[in-house]
Amino acid sequence: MILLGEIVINIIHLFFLIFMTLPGGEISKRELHFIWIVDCSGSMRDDGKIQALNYAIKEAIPHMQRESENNIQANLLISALRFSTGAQWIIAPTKVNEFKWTDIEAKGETDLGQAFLLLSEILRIPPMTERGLPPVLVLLSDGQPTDNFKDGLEKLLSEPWGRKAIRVSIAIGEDANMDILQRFIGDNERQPLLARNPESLTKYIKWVSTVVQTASARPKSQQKNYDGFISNVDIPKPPEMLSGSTDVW
Amino acid sequence: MISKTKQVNNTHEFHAGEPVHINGLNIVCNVEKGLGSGTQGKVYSLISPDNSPLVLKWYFPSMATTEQYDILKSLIQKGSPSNRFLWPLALVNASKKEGFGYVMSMKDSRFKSFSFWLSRKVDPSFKVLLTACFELVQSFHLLHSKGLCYQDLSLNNIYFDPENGEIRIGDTDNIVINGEDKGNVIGTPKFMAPEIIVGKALPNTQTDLYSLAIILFYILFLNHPLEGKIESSIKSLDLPSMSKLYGFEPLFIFDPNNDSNYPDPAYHANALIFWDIYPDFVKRIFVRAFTNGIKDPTHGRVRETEWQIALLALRDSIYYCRHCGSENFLVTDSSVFEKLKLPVELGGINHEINVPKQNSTVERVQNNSVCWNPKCKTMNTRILNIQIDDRSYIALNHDTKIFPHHIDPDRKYDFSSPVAEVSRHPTDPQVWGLRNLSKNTWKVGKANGDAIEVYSKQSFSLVPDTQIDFGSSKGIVCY
Ligand SMILES: Nc1ncnc2c1ncn2[C@@H]1O[C@H](COP(=O)(O)OP(=O)(O)OP(=O)(O)O)[C@@H](O)[C@H]1O
Ligand SMILES: [Mg+2]
Ligand SMILES: [Zn+2]
Repeated sequence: MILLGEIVINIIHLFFLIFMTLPGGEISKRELHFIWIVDCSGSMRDDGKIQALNYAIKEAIPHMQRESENNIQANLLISALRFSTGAQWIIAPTKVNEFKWTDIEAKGETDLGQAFLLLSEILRIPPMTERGLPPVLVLLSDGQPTDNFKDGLEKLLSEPWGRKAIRVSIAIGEDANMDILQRFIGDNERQPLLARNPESLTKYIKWVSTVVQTASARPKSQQKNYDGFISNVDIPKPPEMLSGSTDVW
Repeated sequence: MISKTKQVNNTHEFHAGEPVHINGLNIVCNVEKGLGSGTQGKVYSLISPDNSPLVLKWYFPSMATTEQYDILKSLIQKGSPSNRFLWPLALVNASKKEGFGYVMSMKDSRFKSFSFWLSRKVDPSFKVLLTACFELVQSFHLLHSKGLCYQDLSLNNIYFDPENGEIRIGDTDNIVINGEDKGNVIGTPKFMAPEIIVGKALPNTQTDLYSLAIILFYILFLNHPLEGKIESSIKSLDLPSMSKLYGFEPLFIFDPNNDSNYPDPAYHANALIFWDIYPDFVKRIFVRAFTNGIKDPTHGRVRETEWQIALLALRDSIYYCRHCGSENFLVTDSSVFEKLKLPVELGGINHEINVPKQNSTVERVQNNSVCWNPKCKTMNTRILNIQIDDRSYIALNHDTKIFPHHIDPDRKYDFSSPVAEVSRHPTDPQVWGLRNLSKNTWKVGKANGDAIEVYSKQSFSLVPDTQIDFGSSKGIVCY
């Protein structure tokens, strides 16, 4: 039998080497900023609203992290902005799997306009990346602005990224000014979510941190009434309103 | 006023332990736990009497439409096209709950979302990826040939086993009879056919074919086929810009006649790297899928049977680089092959003499035979393979198996059990052979002219120019 080792050399070794990694790398992703805008005015102290909010956001973090795991489109960065008397950044943009929420306290006025001004300063390039997805802005408030929110909002919407952002607002309790929360959202199709109790607050916060996140990042199945020309991003419906609960704010 | 949080009695949610009567299967299960929710409903794992792994999907009240109910009823009646589909098995109604749900089999945890591959959290081989792609195409072929249409094909709904490429297809509750304007989804943005995005069509089997091509490209190139320079020039990818990129002005990144959307090396390096690795026939089929396939939705799309042939030919052409072990692809262009095969003289191998350098086709083969691994780049010139009836080639590696698909024209796509495998000589590890795993006896003509018979379980030595008569086809060992 004539058989040269040479001839079949391509099959005789490498039992230990066949698990070579394939070339290339991770698919390239876009930056997605997710920003919490939190009302910390004195009234948030009533009825444990601020505690409920702290709880709800902490509760949502693992879900947010899991959702972003399946995300082939976005590198999710989360930050938070607080407003009461004036407005301050409390959490700088942080990767979703490193994100931690520190409980916040409530006192002071409701300077929503200040918050909008602060936001408008970062919703431009730079500090935003050249390669992003529409940011997600989530406004949580229980009351009436005490400053000139109109100028702030105008400034925010004059930034292209402010305009393109997916803006969601959650009213904490019946006293919130729904009209202002609606003006923040802008379009008439979507409405502010009214959280009447801690359960629905938890539910809405989970919804914005998972479903809305993916609306910008991982496109979801779209329903037939989809219309690509009206809004920037198609957002799935919020969770059903809870029934049968009596604990209301 | 906030009092203590109390258990909310939701009328459309289940809690652990709650019994679920599944009349269609004649069993009562208990809810184990919630597995997750999507846009349509929430999914729970069930504890069933015989421990069969079942899950319950319960629709959100707004999604629990009569139309959905009818779709489910007809899917259950039709039955699953294959076990690759997580198909509805039975409808579920519960007197105290709003809406309805259905049960289906549980997806085993070995199945991972393809997003794990795109994020490189799993490390499959080309063979596994091509197996998964083939299974996808085959499954959708089966579905479409039954007159059904998936409607919402995307990477979100398909899963694979990174060890062997077996797949599962989820979210089957939107499947409808093709052409019937049923169901309430139109697709997932980056996977929707352009004609749906521009509003000219609703989902149908032709649009499924487009989504399938997108998925195959994503898996094999780790890049969207329409995301090139135009995409990277968009600062904020919002819905209007997506409609333009994927719907109104779609342009393939490797369009041979228009390079204005060519991959941007800063963001689309994967596309460039993989484009260099695959043989031409693979590039050609993708070019067709995203040029004619976009221009002419009715006749221009690559059919599933064409994908099947291309994907299997590609999988059969995998060989391991002799230096680093990376999977490379053997170029199986037959005219080129003739040139390589003819001059082989046993015992007197000399690349310089046998492969005429001036021949441009052969030159290209040599280029393609350079291992893609940047740390290796070894030239692999002689790759043992078997040519079957002049129509296909299979690279012969230490782990190669040959199936009825390869040798029996009447049993195309039959991979149920192998008919042959590469085997090592029991006493001389330098000698490799092909073992007969079939019941038939092979007639083998050795290179020196001798004729022998190889019975079931026997092997013959893999020597170039050996001819094998499998009965249903003939093979020749090439080198
Ligand atoms: N058969 C199954 N076995 C195990 N898990 C499942 C099964 N079906 C669905 N799931 C899980 O349940 C979750 C929701 O399911 P699914 O995506 O089908 O819901 P959906 O409402 O149709 O969502 P969408 O259509 O928006 O993707 C998913 O995270 C999925 O992993
Ligand atoms: Mg679905
Ligand atoms: Zn190599």
